[in-house]
Amino acid sequence: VVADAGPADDPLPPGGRVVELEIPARPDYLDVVRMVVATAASLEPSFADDRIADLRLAVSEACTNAIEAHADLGEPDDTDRIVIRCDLADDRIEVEVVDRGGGFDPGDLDALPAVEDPSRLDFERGMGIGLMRTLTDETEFSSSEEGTSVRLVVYHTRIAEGS
Amino acid sequence: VDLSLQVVERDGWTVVLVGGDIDLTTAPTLRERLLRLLAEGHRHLMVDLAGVGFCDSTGLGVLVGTARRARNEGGDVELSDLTPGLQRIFQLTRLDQAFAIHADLDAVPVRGG
Repeated sequence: VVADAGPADDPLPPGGRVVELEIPARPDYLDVVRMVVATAASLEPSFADDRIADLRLAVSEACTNAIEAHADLGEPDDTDRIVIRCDLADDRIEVEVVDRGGGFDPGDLDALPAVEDPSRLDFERGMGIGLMRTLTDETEFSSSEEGTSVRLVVYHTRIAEGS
Repeated sequence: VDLSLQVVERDGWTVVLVGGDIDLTTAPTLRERLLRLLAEGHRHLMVDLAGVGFCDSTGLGVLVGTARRARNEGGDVELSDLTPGLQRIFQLTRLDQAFAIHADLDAVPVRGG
């Protein structure tokens, strides 16, 4: 019997492992995205469960924004697609969420008022981007008229505690 | 994605037992149900989240919006039984300071008793 090294014993190929998913820009696909991202992340045994949960929520937030951006353009049809690309590197996982919605300027988003401010409860929306920034180690938005790309990076070991 | 909602009266509270995932798919159902309860005069809502495995900012927005509406009408929305994952999200968003959060339904004080 020849022992066959399992995937866990194989060295990572250069550039890591990439998992890519393309979904219609519809809310009922969010569940699929969360499942795929969490499963991909769990392939790396050193990735702690709470970090996987953080990434899962951050990616879900990014996809929610993407779906809403498409919806803002009018009635979504099957050509409205969102691409989620997970790059499983040695020390981190990078997820890019690319949509072809209308785009936005992240700088336009006002900071939420302090919690003790009663007007805090006036903000039912706009928490998603703050959450993405808090949950991940790096968050990068690039937006144009063609759409938005969000890059989320989570290291296997937390390098910065969200404030 | 499924959302289950069960409403029971308990100790002066209208308790809403929520189960499932709360996201863009299910948040409208939760919002409609909570707002309907307020409109029917149930102004003190206790939302029990023990069965909620996932809640994103859309779900948080529903709870915030319902709480604001309830408070404007002299009522309130309080929460009970958050999983560790949800507790973390409430801490990160600091919404743990905007809501009274109870460990579980047995820890909820009797209202108006």
